[in-house]
Amino acid sequence: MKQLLNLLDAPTRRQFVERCAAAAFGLNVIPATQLLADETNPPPHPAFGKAKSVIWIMLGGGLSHIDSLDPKDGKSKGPAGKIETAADFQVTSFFPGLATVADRMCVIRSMEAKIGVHKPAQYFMRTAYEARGTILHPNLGAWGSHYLGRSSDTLPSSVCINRRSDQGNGFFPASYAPLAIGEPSQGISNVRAIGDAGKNRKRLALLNGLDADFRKRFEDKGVNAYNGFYDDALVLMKSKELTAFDLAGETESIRTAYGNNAFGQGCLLARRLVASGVRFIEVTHDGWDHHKALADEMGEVAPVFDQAFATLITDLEQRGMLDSTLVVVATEFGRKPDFNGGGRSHHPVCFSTALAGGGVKRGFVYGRSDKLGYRVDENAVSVGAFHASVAFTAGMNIKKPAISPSGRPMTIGDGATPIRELFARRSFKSLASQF
Amino acid sequence: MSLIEPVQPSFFPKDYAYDDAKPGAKVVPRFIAWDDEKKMPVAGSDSRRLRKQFADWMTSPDNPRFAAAIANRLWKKLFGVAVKEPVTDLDVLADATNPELLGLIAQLMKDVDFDLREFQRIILNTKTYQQQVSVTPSEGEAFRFSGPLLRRMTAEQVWDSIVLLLRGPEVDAIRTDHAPRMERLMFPFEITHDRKGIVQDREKIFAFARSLLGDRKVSNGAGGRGLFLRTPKSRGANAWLRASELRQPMPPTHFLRIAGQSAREVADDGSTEGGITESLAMMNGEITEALMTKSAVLKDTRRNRTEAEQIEFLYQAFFSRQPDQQDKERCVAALARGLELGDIIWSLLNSREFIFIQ
Repeated sequence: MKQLLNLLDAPTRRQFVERCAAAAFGLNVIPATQLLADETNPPPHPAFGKAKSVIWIMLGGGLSHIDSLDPKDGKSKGPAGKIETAADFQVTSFFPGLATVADRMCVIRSMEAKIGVHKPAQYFMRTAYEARGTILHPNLGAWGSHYLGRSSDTLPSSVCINRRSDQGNGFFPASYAPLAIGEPSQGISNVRAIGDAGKNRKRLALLNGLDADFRKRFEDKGVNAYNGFYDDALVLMKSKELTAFDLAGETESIRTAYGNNAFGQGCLLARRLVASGVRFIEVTHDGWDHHKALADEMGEVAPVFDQAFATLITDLEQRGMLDSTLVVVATEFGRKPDFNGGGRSHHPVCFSTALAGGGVKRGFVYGRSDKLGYRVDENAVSVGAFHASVAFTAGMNIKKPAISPSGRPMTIGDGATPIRELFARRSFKSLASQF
Repeated sequence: MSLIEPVQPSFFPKDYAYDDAKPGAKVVPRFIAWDDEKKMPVAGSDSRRLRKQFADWMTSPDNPRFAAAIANRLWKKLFGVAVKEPVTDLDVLADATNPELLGLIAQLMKDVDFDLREFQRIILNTKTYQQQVSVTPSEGEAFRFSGPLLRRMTAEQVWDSIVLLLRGPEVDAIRTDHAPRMERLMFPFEITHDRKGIVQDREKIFAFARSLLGDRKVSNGAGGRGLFLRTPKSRGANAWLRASELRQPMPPTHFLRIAGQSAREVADDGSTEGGITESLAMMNGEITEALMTKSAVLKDTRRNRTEAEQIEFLYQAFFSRQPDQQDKERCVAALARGLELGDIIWSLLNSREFIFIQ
């Protein structure tokens, strides 16, 4: 495997993908006994590889932990009160829908990071590495392609909805980059060739002939990436599964249930893509940067998220897909506890995230912040450990480093280990059957 | 001595590893000064003049970072990589890959009195700029500015190149105005014009605004930006105009955004990485079809008589160079095999040579 990875520098793309597929196949047949191998030969953990797909919800701007998943009293208290949920923890009244599915959620109230600037914080949350120098780091979708191979023959293994495809493949080949969907209700555009297929073939042949010199002259990583994007685009154009991207295949009532907006429809599209075998889907929801009019702005943005999230969880469950799909709620950072009726500024040292489905505990809170929500009091979770945990439920053997183009070993979560307390020891079903 | 007492004290992280402060030490804010002699008399000065003072201080030629910042950014625009990366962090000028070069271009910027056009004219005439491009060095490998880097056009450059080909030089004659029409209003009731007054009388203000509006929209002041009346201008929203004449940012499905235009949610967020969605748009999108069937470049190409001349014209239009004999023959042969001039346009548009700047 290591020799294969060392070839990352200059393999032809095709060879690389074939080798990865072979490596991934190997991974599947080796039982997961080596995981958490620092214990004395434990049996394979039942949560390992439970999640066949991951839906990564990214709340851009920085979700205020205190006004959402980690409500506080006293001088930190925000504009909304606490409400009871279906589990034995509370959230704020901005999230009544989420409260109804809380018994299927695993909330982390002890996220700890250092970066309080939007773009670097987004990069950090998506990759678990700090942006620096000339190296780009992969997101979990790209790591999935690396460890597990393609998740579908003709559909991409990684898709991002409501954002473009950067912060994706990192140092891995361009074929690991997510496919970007700008407007979920329009699905995927421009997949039909202009004119008939025969003409398109001729045009392509001409293009490749005329451009061959240039591509040879400039052995540049940017140019090589473009060659990859065109190859992948052509594969996608031939796919017979493109209806997965078409929300017209859903009933009006389910579309309405998710919310008639880009985020709601994005979550619905994510559910469709999971059903078609796409492994990693990010759905971005911007607008959480509430510096001034937090009460008003939460009132606009929280219901959009709340409705879509609650619908997504119940929809996945009703279709029997929740056990095999991990839903992640991530954000850039939290927001300052100090509140004077206006807004809150950035606060990376203590914030909240959430997981649901895919082998994680249900109705569970991990970690604790201090009384006012400034600092983590107990069980701090780094962004690296968060990534490692997601990768664990997705069945990636994160102990094995990949080698970057310059020969540096790289791991998911920058060497952090999964938080085992997040994972259910048994699947929910087998637990239920005991009663 | 600190000029401002912090409201909420900040502390260095417990694991702070640099030797300019102790881990967990209290952070004491200080005024940024490049020269002890040039301290601005901030405390006690007229608060209405603070912004002007700040602007004078920031843009002063004596400020060692102002000239360097703009020179460094223009250098990046022309060479594909800045002398100091990232361009948003000039805290330590000595960390530049070549501090002497950074000092030189900062001085040049002052010498031309911040005339950006003149600065670029000089750089463009250097032997360094006119060198053959190099490919991006691998991670960790130093780049010695042997010439510009091969780089992809920005989203705006790709778009502008395409609309120029679509509409011809006439596109430069079109200017749009996206400034919202502001109207100053006299409230028919007493109001304190501070945040408190506006929050307190919010509903009254909205009711008043709505009464004036007809079909126009009132911004509800989300984000604390306040209340204003605007006449939305939709002109050019979906037209083939230069990027600078369109709204910024365009909607997420527009070609500009697909090609990496910033969403303007965070600073410096444009991207030139490309992706499958962009390749699909380049191959099968609306502007590509328009280029192939009804563009200015197609019309002008047809004015040439022979096929060979038409191919030469297209190469000049797309690549600013003549085709070599083999490529010319390839194109002529393609025309004989049933492809049309529009198909040649498709092939040139989708080439790496078109989208990368050499």
